[in-house]
Amino acid sequence: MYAAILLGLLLLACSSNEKSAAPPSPSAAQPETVAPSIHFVEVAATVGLSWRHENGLSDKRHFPETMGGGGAFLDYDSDGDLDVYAINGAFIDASPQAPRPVNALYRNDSGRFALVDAGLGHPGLGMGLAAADYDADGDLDIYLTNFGANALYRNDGEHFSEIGESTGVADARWGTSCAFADYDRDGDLDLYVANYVEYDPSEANADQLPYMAASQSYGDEIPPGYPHPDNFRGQADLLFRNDGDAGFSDVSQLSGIADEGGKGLGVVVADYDDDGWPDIYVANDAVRNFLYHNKQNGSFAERAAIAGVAYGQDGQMEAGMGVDWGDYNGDGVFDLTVTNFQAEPNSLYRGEEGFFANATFAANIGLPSLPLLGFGTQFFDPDLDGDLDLFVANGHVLDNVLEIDQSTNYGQRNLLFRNDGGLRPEQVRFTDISALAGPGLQLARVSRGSATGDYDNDGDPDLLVFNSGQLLSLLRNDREDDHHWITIRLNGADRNPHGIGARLTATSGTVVQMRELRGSRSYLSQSQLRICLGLGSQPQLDSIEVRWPSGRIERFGPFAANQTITLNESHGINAEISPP
Amino acid sequence: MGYTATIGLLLAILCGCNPKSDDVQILVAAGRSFAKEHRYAEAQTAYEKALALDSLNAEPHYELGNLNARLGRLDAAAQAYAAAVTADPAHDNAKHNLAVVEADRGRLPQAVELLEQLPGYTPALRTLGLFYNKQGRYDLAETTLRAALQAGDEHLEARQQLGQLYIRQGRYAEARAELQRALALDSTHTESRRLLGLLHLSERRYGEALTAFSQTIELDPYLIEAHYNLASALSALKREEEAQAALQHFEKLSAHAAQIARLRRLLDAQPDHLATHIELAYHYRQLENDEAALTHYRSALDAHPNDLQVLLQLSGFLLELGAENEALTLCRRGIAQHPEDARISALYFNQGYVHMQNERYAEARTAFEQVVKWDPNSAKAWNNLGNVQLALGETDAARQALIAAVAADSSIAEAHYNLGSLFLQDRQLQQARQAYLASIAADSTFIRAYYALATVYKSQGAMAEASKAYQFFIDKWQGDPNSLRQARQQLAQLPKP
Repeated sequence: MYAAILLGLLLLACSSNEKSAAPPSPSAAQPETVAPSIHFVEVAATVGLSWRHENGLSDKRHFPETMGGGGAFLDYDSDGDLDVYAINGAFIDASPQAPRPVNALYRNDSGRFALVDAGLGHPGLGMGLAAADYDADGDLDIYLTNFGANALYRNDGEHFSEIGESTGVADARWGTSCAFADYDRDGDLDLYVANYVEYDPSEANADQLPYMAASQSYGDEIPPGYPHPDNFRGQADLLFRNDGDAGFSDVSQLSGIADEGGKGLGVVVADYDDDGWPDIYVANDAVRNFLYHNKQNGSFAERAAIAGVAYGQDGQMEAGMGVDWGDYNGDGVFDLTVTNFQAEPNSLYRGEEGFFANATFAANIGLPSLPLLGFGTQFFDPDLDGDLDLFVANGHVLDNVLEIDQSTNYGQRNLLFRNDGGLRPEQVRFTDISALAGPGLQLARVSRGSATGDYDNDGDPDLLVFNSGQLLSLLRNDREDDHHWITIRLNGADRNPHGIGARLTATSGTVVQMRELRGSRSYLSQSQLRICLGLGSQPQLDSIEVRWPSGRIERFGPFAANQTITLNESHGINAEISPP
Repeated sequence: MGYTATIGLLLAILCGCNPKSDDVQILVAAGRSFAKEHRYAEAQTAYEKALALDSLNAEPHYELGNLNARLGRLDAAAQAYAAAVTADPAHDNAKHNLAVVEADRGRLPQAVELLEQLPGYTPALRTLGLFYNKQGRYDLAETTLRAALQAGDEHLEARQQLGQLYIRQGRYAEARAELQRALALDSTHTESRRLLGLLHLSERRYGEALTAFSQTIELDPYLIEAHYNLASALSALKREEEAQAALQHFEKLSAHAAQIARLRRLLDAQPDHLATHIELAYHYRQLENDEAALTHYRSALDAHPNDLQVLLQLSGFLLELGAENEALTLCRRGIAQHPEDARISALYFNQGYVHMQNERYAEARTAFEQVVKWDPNSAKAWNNLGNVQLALGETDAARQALIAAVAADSSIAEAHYNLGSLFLQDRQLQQARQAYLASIAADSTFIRAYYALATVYKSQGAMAEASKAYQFFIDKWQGDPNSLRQARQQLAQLPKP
C-alpha cells in the first residue's frame, strides 16, 4: 500500500502546460523466432485421473484453504512406472460427522490410472509430501504435511501403515514442503519439514489484514480476503534425524535450523557448494529466505543473505513459494529458482562459487513472471536438448482477486521457459514459450504444486500440476523432435536405496550435464526419483560420473541413447527397458 | 501566500463574511497553502467552502482530490477527481490523477483506459508507460515512454524508466545509454546511478558496480536498496567482511522500512489513529526522513490537537529541527491543557532549553524549576538549572542544583564538570579535581573535562599529570579551534619533563 500510494503521489500531475505528443501506437506481440518443439497436452481425464482437489473454501476464508495442495509422481509399487498421489484439503469448520475429503493414490497400469485403496486415504487438511525409502526395505514410504498433525506412512508392500506418532514425526504445526536427505551422511535418510505460520481458525476474520494489502491498495473499503502472512508469527522448521529402528529424533535446535523468523513454504536440498554435504534452501513467505550451509558436524550455518539468495534483487523480502536447484547454464555450479507473488518477479539466482548473482531479469524469467503469482516450479528438460528449461505453476491466492485488482485473475496460465543457451554462462537466457507449447500450457487454473516425471516411459518428462479446488492436470509431453534421451535410476548402497542426493555428471559429445537426484522440489510436491537426461542429437551418452551420497565416486558408460539404465553403487549397471 | 495571510483569509471567510464569486479562487489558493503546510483539515475546509460557493467549478474538486490522495483516502480522491472531470472535461490533470488513483485502487485497466484518452498530454504518457509496464505490456511501455520523450523536453524519470525496462529485458547497451542520459541531466539522480550499478552487476563488472552503489549511498545514505546492492557487489568481489557490515546496515534500515509499511497499512484502516502516526514518525526519524516524520506528527496533531504525547514528541522534534518558536507554542499549549499531568515536565524542559539557548536565563530558570518540581530525579534538569543559575550569578543555588544533579544520576558527566568548574572558581582545587575525574569516569569521551583537569593539575603543581591531560585533550578535541590553540599554548608553557 505504501509503495502504491507513494507511486501515486509521485505521479500526480501538477501542471498542464506540457507539449503534446503523438499517441502511442499499439504493437503486436513479439513474434517467436524459433518454434518450440515442446507440446504439452492435458490428458488427466483421458487416462483416468479425474481427481478434483477440495480446498474447503468457506465464507470465513481460513488461510489454509488457499495454500494447498501438492502431490507426487512416485512408483509406490516398484513396478517401474510412475503412480500418482494427490493431497486433499478439508473443510475446517465441518462437523466431525461430516464425510471428510481424503488423499488419493492412483496406480499406473500401462499409462492408465486406477484409484487404489492402499491405506493412503489420509483425511487431514493436507499440504505436501515427501516420498523415500526411509527404512531401506526397498519400497517408498510417504511423509505427509498437514495443517494439523503430520503423518508418516510406511509402505508394507500391499498396504501403508501410519506410524507418524510412534516414530516421532507427527508434528502438529502447519507443515508445508518437506524433503528426505542424508544431512549427516550416516547412510540413512533424515527428514526436513518446513513450517509456515501460527494460524488459529477460531480467530479468522478478526482484524486480519487481507493477503494483498502489502502490494495493492483497495481504496477505502477492503473486500474480504485470505489474510496476509504478516498477520501471523512464523513457525520454526523441523529437522528429524533418522535413528533407524528407534524412529526419528528432533534435532532442529541442535542443528541450528529452528528459526521462528521463517514462514516456510518451499524446501529443496542440494550440495550447492560441491563439498559433498547436502545443504538446505527454504523459501519463506514475506520474510527472508534461508540457506542452511552444512557445517559437516550435524549443524548448519544460515548464509542466505551473504550468499545473495535471501532477498530479491534490491533486498526486498518476497513471497517465496516454490523452489528448485539446477545447473541451467551448464557451468557445473548449481543455480536456484524461487517463485514469488504477483508483481514480484520469480527469482533466478546464478551460482558463482559460493555467491549467487541475481539473474532474474538477465536470464529473462523476470518480466514474464511479474503479472503472475507463482507456486510450483522445476528445472527439467522437456525438449531433451541437453539443457534445463523451467516450468512455473501459477494461480492466485485470492478467489476474489478481481474485486481488488483487475489486472490479474484467480486462475492463471502456467509458464514454460525454454533455455536458449548463451555464449557464456552469465549470458544464458530463457524464452517464454508458454503460448506456443501446446494446449496444456493454455489452461488457466489455480495451480499450486507441480511434479515432473515420465509417466508413460517414453523418455521425456511429463508434468503433473495440482490445482486448488480444481481437477488436477496431467500434461503429457508430446514433443515434436527426434532428440535422444537416457533415463537413469540409481541403486544406492547403505540405507538410501534410491540414491537421493547422488550427483551425476554426464558427458555426451561436448555437452556436460550435472544433476543431483532429489524428489522433493517445487512446492508441496515430489517429482520422480530418476533422472531424464536429454542428449539432443547425440546417439550415445559417453560417460557418467556418479558421486554417491556415501562419497564413493564411480564412472559408467558409454551407453546407447534411448534406454533406461540402473546404476548400482559398487555393483555396476543394469540396462533395463527399451523405449516404446 | 504567507502563514498569517492564509490564516486571516480563512478566518475572514469562515467567520461568516459574504464572499464574492471570485472568492472561490482565493479559497482554493488558501487551501493549497494550508496543504503545503501540512494543515490538511484546514485545507479541506477551504476547498469545501469553495465548493459550497460554486459546486460546478472543477478546481476545488481537483484540489480536494489531491488532498484526499495525499492522505490515502483513495475512494474520496477518485470521487473528487471524477467530479472535477465532470465539471471540466478538458481538465487533463484531473483525468491523469484520477487514473493514478484508479490504479492505486487496483483498477489498472480503467486507469490505462483513462490515460489512453490523453495522447497529447506528456505526463499522461509517462504514467501510461509505467502502467503498461505493470501490465506486462512491455512493448507498449517502451513505445509510450519514447513518445513522451519525443513530445516533451528531456525528462529524467522517463529516461530512467526506459533504462530500467531495458535492463530487465537484457538490452544492456540501450539501458546504459538511457541511464547515462538521465545522469547527464542530473548527475545526482540516485535511482539512475543505482540502476547503472545494477547494470554493471548484471554484466559481472563488480568493481564498477561497487563504485556506482557507493556513489548512490553518498548521495542518499538512506536509500535502503542501495545498501543491499552494495552488499551484493562486495559479496561478488569476495569481500565478505565488508559485505556482512553492509548487510547489517541494510537490515537495520529495512526493519524500520518494514515497520513503516506495516503501520501505513494500519493507517489505511484508521487514518487518524494517534499511536500509529506517532510510531510512524518515530521510524521515519530513524531513517532521517524528517519531512515524513513531521507529516505524521502534524497529522496526529490535526486529529488530536491537545494530545499530550503528540505535543511532547512534536515539540521535541521541532527543537531538534531548530523550529524553536513553534516548539514553544506547542509546549505552552500542552502545559495549559494538561496542568496536572506530570509528563508536562518534558514540555517545561523544552521551554527551559530554548530560553537557555537564547540566553533568557530568568525564563529558563523558571522552566527548569518547574521540571524538577514535577520530576525531582531529572539529573539533566538539575544540571541545566545549575547552569542558568550560574549564568544569573546565583552561585550557591547553582551549587545545590548541581549536587542534586549528580545525586540523581552519578553518570551525568556534564553535572560533574559544571560542579568542578564551580569548585575551581572557588579555588577548591582538590574538590575540583575530584569532580573532573568523576566527569571523565562517567564519560571518557567528554573531552573538555581533560582540559579543565589539566588546569587543576597545573594549579596544584602536578605538571606531569597536567601535561598528560593537555596532550589527551589536544589529541581528541574536535570542537572549536580556540580551545585547541589554548591547550597547545598551555602545554608549551609547562616545564619539559
